[in-house]
Amino acid sequence: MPLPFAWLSQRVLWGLLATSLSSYPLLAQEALPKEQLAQAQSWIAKEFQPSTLTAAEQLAEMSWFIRAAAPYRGLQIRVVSEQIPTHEYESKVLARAFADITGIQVVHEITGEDDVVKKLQAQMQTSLPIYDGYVNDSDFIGSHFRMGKTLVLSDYMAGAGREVTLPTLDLTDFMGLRFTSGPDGKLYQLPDQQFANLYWYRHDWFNRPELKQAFAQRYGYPLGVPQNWRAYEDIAEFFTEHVRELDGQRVWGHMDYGRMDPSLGWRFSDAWLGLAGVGDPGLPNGLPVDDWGIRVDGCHPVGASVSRGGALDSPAAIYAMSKYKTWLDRFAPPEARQMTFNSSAEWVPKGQIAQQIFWYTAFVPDLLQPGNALHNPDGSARWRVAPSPVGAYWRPGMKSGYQDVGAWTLLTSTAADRQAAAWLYAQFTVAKTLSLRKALVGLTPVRLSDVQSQAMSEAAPRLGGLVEFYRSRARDVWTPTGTNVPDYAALAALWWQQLGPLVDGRQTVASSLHNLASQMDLELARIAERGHLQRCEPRLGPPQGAAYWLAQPGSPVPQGDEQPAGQTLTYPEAIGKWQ
Amino acid sequence: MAMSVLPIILRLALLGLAVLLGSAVQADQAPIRLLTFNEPPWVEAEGGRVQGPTIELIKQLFARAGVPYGIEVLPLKRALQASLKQPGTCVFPIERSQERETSLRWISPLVVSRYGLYAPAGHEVRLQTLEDARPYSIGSYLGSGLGEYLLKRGFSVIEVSNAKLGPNMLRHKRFDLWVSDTRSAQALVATDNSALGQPSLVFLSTLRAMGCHPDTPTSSLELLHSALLGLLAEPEWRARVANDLP
Repeated sequence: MPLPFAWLSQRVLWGLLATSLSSYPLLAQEALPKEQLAQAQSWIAKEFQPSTLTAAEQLAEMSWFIRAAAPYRGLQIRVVSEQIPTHEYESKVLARAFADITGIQVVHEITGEDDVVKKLQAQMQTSLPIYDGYVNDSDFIGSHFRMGKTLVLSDYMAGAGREVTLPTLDLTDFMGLRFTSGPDGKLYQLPDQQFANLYWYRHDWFNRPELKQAFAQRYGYPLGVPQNWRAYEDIAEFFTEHVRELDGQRVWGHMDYGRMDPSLGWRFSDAWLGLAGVGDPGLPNGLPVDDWGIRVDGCHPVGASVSRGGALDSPAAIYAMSKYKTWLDRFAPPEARQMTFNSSAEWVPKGQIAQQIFWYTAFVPDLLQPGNALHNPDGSARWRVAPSPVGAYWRPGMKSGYQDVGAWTLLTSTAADRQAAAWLYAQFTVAKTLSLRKALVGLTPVRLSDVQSQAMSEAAPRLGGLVEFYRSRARDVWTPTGTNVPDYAALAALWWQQLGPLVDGRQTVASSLHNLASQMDLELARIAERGHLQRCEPRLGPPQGAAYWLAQPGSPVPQGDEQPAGQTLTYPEAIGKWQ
Repeated sequence: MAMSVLPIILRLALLGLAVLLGSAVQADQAPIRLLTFNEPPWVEAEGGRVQGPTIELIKQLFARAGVPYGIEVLPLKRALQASLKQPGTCVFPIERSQERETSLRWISPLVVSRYGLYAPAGHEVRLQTLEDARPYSIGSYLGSGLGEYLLKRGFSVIEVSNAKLGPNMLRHKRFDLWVSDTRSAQALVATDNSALGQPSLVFLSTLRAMGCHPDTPTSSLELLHSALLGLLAEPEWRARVANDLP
């Protein structure tokens, strides 16, 4: 499928991207402040290794930054991002390097993802100058292309921002550019880090002969990488209820979280329903129904409830949430119900979890800490990541999983000089000079050249399949929230608000989902009424009986067989599916 | 405009103000109980008076929304607890954070705060990033949320129960750096002459908001939210909330 960037070849940007590395020596010969040049040399030598560039190419790229940043030297800008190791590295190391090299001071704040969302929402709504740049998930792309508040980077690079656009940015090298572009083909956000949600398991435990034998005897098929939710459930039951203890410690066949917290919403909105089989097949995801269950007519969202052709309270969604609830109650450690996205992530490194169906690879650095039981003496991983097993309603071509692309996002309301300085910093954090080093620290690569590097090959045995994922076509198929969601900040909170009560049993799964679907429809209507969208606003039609929509082709589909036979594959077979 | 308050739990009868504003007023609705606390310069609630730019904003906000209300002054912790437990109650101006998000419903932002690290007057501590503060002990006002933010990141934090004591303790070297909202620090300097200098680093921005009990009627919150967006579309009010940003 061709990239949706026909505009790229038509714009000056292509000329800039075509700038070959052979031009670096010319840049390097320009007169530059000695102190800044020395700083660049020092950072290249002591920190920015390894790199896909040669030292000379690195210095030339840094020389361009020194020159481009000159008009903004002495400025202090503020940017914000969520709390993951990649951004910690940027905040602690790259912000300082950028200041040393360019003279632009950066306060790179780290906070909770929901806090980033609320601040971005406030700034988009009010134009208050809270930050000069955000690392915002590409899940917002449906908001950015509709609201007209976000700087259109493709226009900026070719126009007002031409002088501060890095000639060696090489946009075609970014794996996630498709996710940060609108349906209009324009680029709204520049990927800074990306991580997938994958199946995680203890490869060493799955290969213990006594466990393999016991599993096969009990369930009638081999212990291996589960391909469907039935197999995942069997393996969860096997470890939690039958194995119970390994090497003297309690083990669990499943890990999850259920605390009433904004992160509970991500547990479901990050494609859980899509894995169950809620959406329609095809890329981009969501034509006409996406993994949030929102149906669009053209580009206009028309509803999330089955009564309006959506699928948020469809049988497949009810199945998805029932499995979440059952597995949390039966197979996860009891503490999981009171955990969040962050606190639950601390459990896998403890070495008591056999598998986790919904696991973000942003947490890989936590697994590599010395002293835990998750690696062999030679440093190779005892765990693996693999394609996520899929639910009973899933059909080939449907969304295979979720990928989070945190991307630099600038707003039109920001003053031009601060916008330019923030754009320079954004490009600095993904420049080829240092992007491989950053990728090896945070393990959230954005550049294909880094993924394909020798350094990444050498790291692969420690990373349990992460490199294999990014070297396969799966990097395009695991997708973020798409453009059916017209106002992410307004709609995302509904997930935890409406589904939280089912965790502690205050509501049934079906009633929680009906409430969620109704509230989603209501909020879609409110979004349209507020009139903040410049295009593709929601247009809710009159509700119909559920039977009408369930009889139509595609999503939503009527109730089907929810107990297919369990199916597993060996690890090589499982990751072969990514090729 | 300053307003009189009673000495202990102080209610300001502002209900009439909303009622006077005409057709948009939700006169049939029970007034929302607004709780605030002394937080100069945003809210000055000492000596029998409650005033400050955030009080002005709140008055204007409720007037435009046509939502009846009354204001009381309580210590921060009690105000927060009451808003969590008592329907029809809101607290302001508190920090909106991910940890608090699910416990309350929000009208935001009322204030954009910047937090800085202050060295004792006459001592220069050069901080380029927050990481540079790691070797130092940091004093923080208990309940501001900043101590928690820094502790979670492994910094050495000493929490102080009274914000006014911080600069004095800093002067007496009870800790190396004092963390404070930059405007609050300015206000303290103005009243106490505590001679805090310029912050060594302004490292964090937060949104201060009004947090309401989850059972607060959606209709009232929608009116208030719309009114706030309307206010912030006006340069004068936006400038007040922006607080000399950046």
